[in-house]
Amino acid sequence: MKRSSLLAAAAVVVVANVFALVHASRNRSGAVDSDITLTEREVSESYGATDEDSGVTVNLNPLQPLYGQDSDPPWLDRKILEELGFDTSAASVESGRLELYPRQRPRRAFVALEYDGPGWRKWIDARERRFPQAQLKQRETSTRLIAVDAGRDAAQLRARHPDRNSVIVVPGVIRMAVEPRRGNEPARPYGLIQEIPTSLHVPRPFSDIFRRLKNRGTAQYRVHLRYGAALEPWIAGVEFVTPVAP
Amino acid sequence: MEASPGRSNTANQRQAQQSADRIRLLREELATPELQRILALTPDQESRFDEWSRARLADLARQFDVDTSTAQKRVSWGMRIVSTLGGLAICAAVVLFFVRYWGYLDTSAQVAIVALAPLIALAGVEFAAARERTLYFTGLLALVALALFVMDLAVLGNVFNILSTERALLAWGVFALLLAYRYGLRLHLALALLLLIGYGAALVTAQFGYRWFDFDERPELVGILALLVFWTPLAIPHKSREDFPPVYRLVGAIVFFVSVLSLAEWGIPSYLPFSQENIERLYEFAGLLTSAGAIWLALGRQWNGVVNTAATAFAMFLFARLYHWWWDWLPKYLFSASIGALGIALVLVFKRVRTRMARAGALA
Repeated sequence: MKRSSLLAAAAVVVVANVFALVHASRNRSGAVDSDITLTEREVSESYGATDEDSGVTVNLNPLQPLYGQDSDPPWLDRKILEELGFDTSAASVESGRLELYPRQRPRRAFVALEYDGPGWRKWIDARERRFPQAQLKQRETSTRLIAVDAGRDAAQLRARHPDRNSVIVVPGVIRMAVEPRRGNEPARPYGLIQEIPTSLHVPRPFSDIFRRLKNRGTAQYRVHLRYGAALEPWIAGVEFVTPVAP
Repeated sequence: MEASPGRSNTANQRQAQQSADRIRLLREELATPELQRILALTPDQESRFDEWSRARLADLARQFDVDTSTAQKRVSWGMRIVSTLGGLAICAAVVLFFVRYWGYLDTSAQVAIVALAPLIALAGVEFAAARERTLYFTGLLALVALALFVMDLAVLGNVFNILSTERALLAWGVFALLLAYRYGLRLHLALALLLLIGYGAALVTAQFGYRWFDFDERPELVGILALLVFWTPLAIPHKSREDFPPVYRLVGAIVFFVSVLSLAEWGIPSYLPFSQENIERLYEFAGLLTSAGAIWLALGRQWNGVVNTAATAFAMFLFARLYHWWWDWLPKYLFSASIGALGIALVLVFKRVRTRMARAGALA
């Protein structure tokens, strides 16, 4: 019994590692929730910030509207906010009660990201109408991944968007904001996507090629991405359109 | 908990150090002319005491590696500080080394390295504890083991793109707690308590549907858990770890007062359904009351760390209240003078308390 606390400390390390590995294995071995191929427009390189980190990471690049970066998505309205558990009742009363809103902390939810679908086409059409000069190349260069829906239940959200090759369901965080009362217009609550997990670890051998690409300008590639049962992603393959010299 | 190398080492060493301190003080006192005049020891008695005390101190130093002089004590403190800083530097070096080269390894190699590293470090801690009495290297290696375990779970989360959860805080906290109790490491105990307070608050926060790492935005929960930590030594006696209850109390008091202070200054993260202004006033009052109560409690029980923490908290709550009252309508020089006068008044109050305690001690 003299070594039981030592064994307990070792057991904590072992159990934590086994738990993490079993979790990752279940995510990858169960039913695949999304199986999608994206391009360098949707998955941008973020490796090589310094020589101190040899790991390669790419970033999923969904079209905002993320919190603080763009206008609110029109579909993230009071109905969805109420479904997520936000109290929107005070919005219809006098503006003095608006101080209640900052107290409503961001809530966890699930967000549907659609790739190259009606949501993106609607967005790019609107952008081109709004900025006819500045956005000339945006149709050719912009990411085509855009948030189109959110909900509290991932299965229900998937049922609303059954195409697993063009819609990813990811966990996210949604914050409520309020458009203050203007004249006869009542105060309006709306939602903002504050956060979705965008960082993707690139395993070998794909990471070796990304590392070689460092400082050689932009490359064209396709990333085959899968989301497992726990809605956690992994890179199943990378295909480089332009050949990369060894 | 069962006997462990750290426990027997630290408990016996503490007693040995206390014994050495008493002998050293007695030797110093007997050397003063005043005591020499009162006791008037014969040369033979003086010689026998000198011989005995020297032999006893040498024996204690040989057996338990205790400090037998004031200079040695200073050096020991320096060694403690250096071993902690050295431990932190080694943690940083190991993590940075791994980060620099991990990208060239396959996933299986990455996982094997990060999973085995804390276990190897743990074996190193046990090896060091069995061979040293002062636990400098044991503490240093235990710090490295904890850092490697943190890196382990962080890397696994990164490699498999696992969504972060609060459970990692629990694993790290329990690991640090086990190291602390096995080897008698107070720094690890403090880290474990902070991690476990964080885990408790994050768990409740996540249950409400919020992000787990937003737990610090709801200080009330953190404050309640800090109070639990503060009172833990009363519920769980630490007969063989007498130096641990002060750590519980200090961590509990600091976290509690920081929580209340943040609510008093930024009342909006409160769970209470009142206006921000009322919440701030309520917590200012609660802060003044609890810090004054803690000073009173700690003076009675001779909890020195709590007295200092609570006195600092009381001064901060008082300063914040006076700032809100007077800053806008008093000239700045008058405001500063008022704070200075208040400081002097507090010193006088503490001086009076100290005199009363001295009288009570003399009577006892």
